[in-house]
Amino acid sequence: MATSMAREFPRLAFLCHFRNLSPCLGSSTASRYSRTQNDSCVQVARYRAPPFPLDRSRYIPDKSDPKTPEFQKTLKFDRKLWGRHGEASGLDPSICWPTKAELAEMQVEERDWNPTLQEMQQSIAIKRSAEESDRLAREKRIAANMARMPKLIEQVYEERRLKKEQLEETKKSKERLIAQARERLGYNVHPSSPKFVAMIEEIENEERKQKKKAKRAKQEAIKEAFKAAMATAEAAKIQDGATINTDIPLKPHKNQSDQ
Amino acid sequence: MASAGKGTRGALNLLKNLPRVGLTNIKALPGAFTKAPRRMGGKMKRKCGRGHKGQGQRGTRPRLGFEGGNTPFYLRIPKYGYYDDHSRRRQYPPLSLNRLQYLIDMGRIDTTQPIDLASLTVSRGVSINPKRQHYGINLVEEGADIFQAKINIEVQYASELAIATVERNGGTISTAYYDPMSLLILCDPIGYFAKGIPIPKRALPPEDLVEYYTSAEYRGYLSDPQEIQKARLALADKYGYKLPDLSLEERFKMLSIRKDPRQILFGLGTGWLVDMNRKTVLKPTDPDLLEFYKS
Repeated sequence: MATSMAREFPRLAFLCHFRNLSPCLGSSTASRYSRTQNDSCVQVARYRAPPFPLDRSRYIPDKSDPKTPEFQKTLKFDRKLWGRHGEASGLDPSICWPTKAELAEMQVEERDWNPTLQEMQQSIAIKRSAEESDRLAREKRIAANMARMPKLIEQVYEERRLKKEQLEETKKSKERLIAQARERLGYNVHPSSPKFVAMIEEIENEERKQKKKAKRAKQEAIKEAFKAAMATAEAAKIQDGATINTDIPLKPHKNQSDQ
Repeated sequence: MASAGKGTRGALNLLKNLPRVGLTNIKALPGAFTKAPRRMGGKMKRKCGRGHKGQGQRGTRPRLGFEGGNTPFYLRIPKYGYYDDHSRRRQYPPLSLNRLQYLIDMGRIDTTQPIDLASLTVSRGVSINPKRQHYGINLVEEGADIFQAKINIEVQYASELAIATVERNGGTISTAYYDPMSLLILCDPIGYFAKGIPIPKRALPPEDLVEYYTSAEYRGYLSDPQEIQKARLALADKYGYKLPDLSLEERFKMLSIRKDPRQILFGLGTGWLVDMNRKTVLKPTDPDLLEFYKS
């Protein structure tokens, strides 16, 4: 198989010299006796690549001659010569491998630009875990907000209702005031006239006075009740074994004596 | 024409006797097509539609989009979104299962050996230009229903159905990454050997591809072989075919050949030098070099 391949594909014949190799390069190596699935196929199309121009011109420049151009005296050119002609170039093959300096450069480049697989996998893991945690946090936030939604919706409706009510109330109170004014002053007052404003002030003052009176009365009532309770207690003390009525509501004093 | 009578009988007779309607016996209605009028006559200026003087008549108009020297619209407007960096993205030209089957049937590809991009390129089955953001080939499902070959193929991207098709037919498929330098070597090995540089190491995939090539679902070359076996079973389950037992194959050894992650060509290791004239291979002996070239 190797020899037939060498004959048909001279360009790849060198591969046959390897010890444990199956010639896999350029495997249009189906032989005349085709090994395709369909064994009845006898016609075989083969692509024979044109041979690489290796021995076209074996020109090895003379390094000592001053006429040879500078680029033909470089290491790079020598490597290319060796690549094309191999041993026949007469050059030492060790020039093809990197020098100590070149090797050091390559190692530095590799260290700087090519991270190891473990490093890459670690950074990927960190990224993925960060993404995951972000996603979870977002979903939690959404879930919490969705749970609050019914309440919030209710709140909105409630606010709207209250607002509406307030508006209605203000309207009504205004109407009431106008009615009162009409009663008092005897004609249709405009709400912005000074008389109306003055009238409102009067009403407010009256209301305030009423409130104060009510408050004072309440306080005095409590005071009376307390005095009565104290009296009964005193009376009870004199007689031994008397039952004391402890059902008196005692509130904390707020400087009652000073008032 | 036979008895073309009047009325329904006549019509029926016509139907019976006239030939079948085809392209040869129908004609467009008058006025359906109009011919372009020839520009002849005293009224038409004798300038053949080119106009009068200037770049239009003289045929020296600049390229489309040119605006007289200021930066034209098509260069002024930046790309964004879908078109961001589109010219720098990795490209994986497709290889359909149809084409692969055709190449195998024509004998252009040897199924008794592992198939990789090198064998496809050298036999001119696919054309890849590594200098143009091509990072390999993409095995595409077109032809999954007619594919019928037992192969060991290595591609750079494969869809799930393509993997299933190959495995169902008793073959193996793997996906491997080649950096642009390695791809150049893979697609034109002999041109590279002529440079006199030893075969370099294949680089690892970049971070955004590591997940792909370490996943068993895509048969990545960096993934765990046991995971691959599980994934094969899972895929067979999903698509509903019986997974053939490869260990019973006579070609089992061939089907299980895989390249080392740092290897570019089958049978050639990193740091080796190929003498094409003498047909020999030279290996380095310096310990520093050996240290560098082993993966």
